[in-house]
Amino acid sequence: MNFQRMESFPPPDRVSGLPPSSKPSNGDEMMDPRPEWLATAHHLFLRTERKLTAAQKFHAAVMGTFLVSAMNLVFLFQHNPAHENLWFALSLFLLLPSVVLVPFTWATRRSLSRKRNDLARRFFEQGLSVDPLGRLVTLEAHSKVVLPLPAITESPPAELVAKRQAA
Amino acid sequence: MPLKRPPEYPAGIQTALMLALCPLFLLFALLPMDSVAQMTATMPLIGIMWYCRSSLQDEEAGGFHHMLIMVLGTLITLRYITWRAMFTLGSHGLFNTTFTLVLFAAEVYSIGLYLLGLVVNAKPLDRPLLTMADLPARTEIPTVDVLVPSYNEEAGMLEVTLRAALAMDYPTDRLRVHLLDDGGTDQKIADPDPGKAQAARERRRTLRALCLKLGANYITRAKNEHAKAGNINSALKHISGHLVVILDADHIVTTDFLDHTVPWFIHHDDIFLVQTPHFMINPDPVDRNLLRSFDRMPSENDMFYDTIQRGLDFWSSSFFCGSAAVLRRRHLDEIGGLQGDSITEDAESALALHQRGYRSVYVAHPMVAGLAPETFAAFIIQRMRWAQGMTQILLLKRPFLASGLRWYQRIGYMSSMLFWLFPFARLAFLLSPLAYLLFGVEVYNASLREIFAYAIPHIIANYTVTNTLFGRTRWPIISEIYEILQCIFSLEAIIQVLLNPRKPAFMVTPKGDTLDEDFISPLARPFYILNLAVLLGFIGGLWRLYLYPLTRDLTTVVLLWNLFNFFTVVASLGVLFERHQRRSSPRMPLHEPGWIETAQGERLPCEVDDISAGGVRALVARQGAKQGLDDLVHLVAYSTPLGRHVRIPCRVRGNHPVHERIALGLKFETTTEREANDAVTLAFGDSARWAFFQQRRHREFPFWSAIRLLVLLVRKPIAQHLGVLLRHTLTGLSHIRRLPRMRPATREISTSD
Repeated sequence: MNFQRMESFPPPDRVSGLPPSSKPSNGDEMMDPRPEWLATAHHLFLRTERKLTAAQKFHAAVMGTFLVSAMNLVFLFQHNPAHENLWFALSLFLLLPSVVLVPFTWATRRSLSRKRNDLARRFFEQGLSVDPLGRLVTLEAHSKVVLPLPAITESPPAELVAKRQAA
Repeated sequence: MPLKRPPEYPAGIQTALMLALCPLFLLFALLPMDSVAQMTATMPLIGIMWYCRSSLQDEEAGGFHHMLIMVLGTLITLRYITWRAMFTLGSHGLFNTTFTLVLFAAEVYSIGLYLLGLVVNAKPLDRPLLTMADLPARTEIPTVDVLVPSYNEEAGMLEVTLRAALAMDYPTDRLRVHLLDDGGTDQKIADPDPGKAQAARERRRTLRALCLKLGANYITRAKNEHAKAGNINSALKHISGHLVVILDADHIVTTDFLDHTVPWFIHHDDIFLVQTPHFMINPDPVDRNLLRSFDRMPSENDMFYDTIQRGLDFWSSSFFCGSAAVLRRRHLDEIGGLQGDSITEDAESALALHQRGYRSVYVAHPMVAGLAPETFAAFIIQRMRWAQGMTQILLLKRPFLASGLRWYQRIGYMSSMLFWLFPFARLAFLLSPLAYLLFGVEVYNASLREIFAYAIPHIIANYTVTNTLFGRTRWPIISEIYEILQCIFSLEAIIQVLLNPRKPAFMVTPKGDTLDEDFISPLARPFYILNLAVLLGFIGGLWRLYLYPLTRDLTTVVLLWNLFNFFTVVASLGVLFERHQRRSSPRMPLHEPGWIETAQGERLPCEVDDISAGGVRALVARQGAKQGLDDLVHLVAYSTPLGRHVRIPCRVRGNHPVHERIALGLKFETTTEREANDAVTLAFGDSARWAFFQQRRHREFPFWSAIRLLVLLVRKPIAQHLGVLLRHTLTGLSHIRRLPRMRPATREISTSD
């Protein structure tokens, strides 16, 4: 473990309970002896990762629907096949919601991705990373488990809620 | 240990399913459609592929989404090549027809190789990491002979290799290490050139003394026959161990190499080979001269060792790569030692043993650190040898017909060997747009709409599939640069083999070179011509756009194709600008804690930042760093393989601030054998460190980032080469300007005479 890095935990952000990013310090940071922000950040990272996977799948599904319906319309306009009206209605039925949803799914995916990357970067700055099993481990050849895989819940941890309320 | 394999359905059901699906698959591949129908059919397929790509995060290779991507990709590609064959080959005139067929043949070759690659890499195998500790108590441990063939490598490099081999974690009475010196043979010593003979004598004396000091065995032979294979076969007569480890002269093993490889031979009697990856601790010329991202980008051979060999292993056809492998002596004797019909004796021997029904195993854990060629010329020598050797095996051994192989082993070997014919295809892809832009040769008879309907989906599908299979170990577009760099020289080498398969001779790859200054590679000339041709292509294209309004669509597409070629060809110029390389032993990042004990008895905590065979860079706190140059200190660091702290004397060679700390450059100055062994083990003994380094580099790189990188890469090579050309021109001009001053002086002398 890289003790020099671990000894200098930055204080948690007052709103999110997370450590500040690597932006230049204003000099009033204090050493935080309590690494509980790690547990919070770890928990949040795993939840974000899971949400991101779901968002990616949903976005791809919406985009796929959009592509299929749009291409179907192109085909209908070019070839006038049998049961044209039925296919036309079906394509429109799929196209309209997918057109509306695509920007939202894209934005959701992007914001989750940025959030996940931001957390990963903060772990990296502390010489830590989340391994494929979801454990928080030290970033070195013979890695040590800092935090095991927590039970992921839908609601944010009570500690985080309390900090938000306090803020 | 039983391997975890996917559940297998009865063979009858599998066959019935395949037979039922094949006609459907072929029907869709061959069904005639107009452009619009084709586009409307393929775009949803690409949408599905895209969806599957985003669902891969928690799925291991070979899962449902992987398979679906490959099936759909194959479908789109087959539709493309069918359309190409049926509708785009119409041409008039011999010149046109020839170019059209050459391009089509290149595409057929690429798609054929791609389909073989899909089969090979469908399910890369993850072998468990066995260990000797898990063996039953009374298991008989086999004796192991480690062979280090050498030709012209220096003693310093060989010392590190031998020390590491001797330090392997294995019963000492069961391990013997042999240096096979081909640079000090009787033939070399009797060389008619007295200088060469003296150098050979000196080499033999030095290496024999080195072996005596380390406890290794020095072996040489009478004549230099059959290169490396001959050297090893000659040594086999003097040794009798159950297993043979072959290590190149620059390949340094970790202490757990035998611990993770030997158990496979104990568990299975029919295994003839356990191959492990070659982990390169220095960047190759492409990385060093152009990309400069050794610690971020997967190494070039990672694609082969981390994906393809594992894929081949699933199909029982992973093959011997010349080093970093253990072979069973009994099996090797059955085929009369290493085969010598080709210059890639490794793959040839593996093929012969696979034909006899023996099995190979690939353990994808890096346990051998080696050196990549430093210069572009050395890189090309190595690649030409591989290309020639594999083509020799293809022609002489014919794996597609060879008896004893299973159908999947034939596919594996054909995929590995046909790959080396890529120079033909790569050159066709480079020259075809030029043929159209400069000479109006209609190599690709298609409208813009057809290109959008067939070619673009094929390219997208191809990229998606390739990225799914190799995304972590090969960044997009990097393969193109590597292929362009090799294609011109490899093409010539392959043609030589095609004309006379037995002609090529073994060429030793130079390793561990140091380069004193920047220079342009002597092999740069063909690339200047290629760059010039591509630039002329743009001029020809603009001229065609202006003169032939009816073909503007097609010309635009071909110009875009030429633009892509331009970027890759210019980027390859950057590789030809050889950057200086003064350090002979490459450094690897470490980031582990330690102490520095000063002569005054102080103990400074430090972070060992990087390490090489010759020394370390240690970061110490600013207030504690009072070491001057040439001070003698001791580095104390924990060595995981040894399970203890090691204390190594070092000389301070550098001292400069880094952020808030001081970086001390420390050179090992070992005085005892134990210290020297500890230094080698500290630097190279820990395989977990190589695995960690490799895993951090294995990550996907987005396509658009790769395009951006390629565009950004273009500026630098042009500036570098123009700078050198300008410097040479100015030097030449100043030389010319000096000439008239010299002439009168000459005249004066002649007058006085």
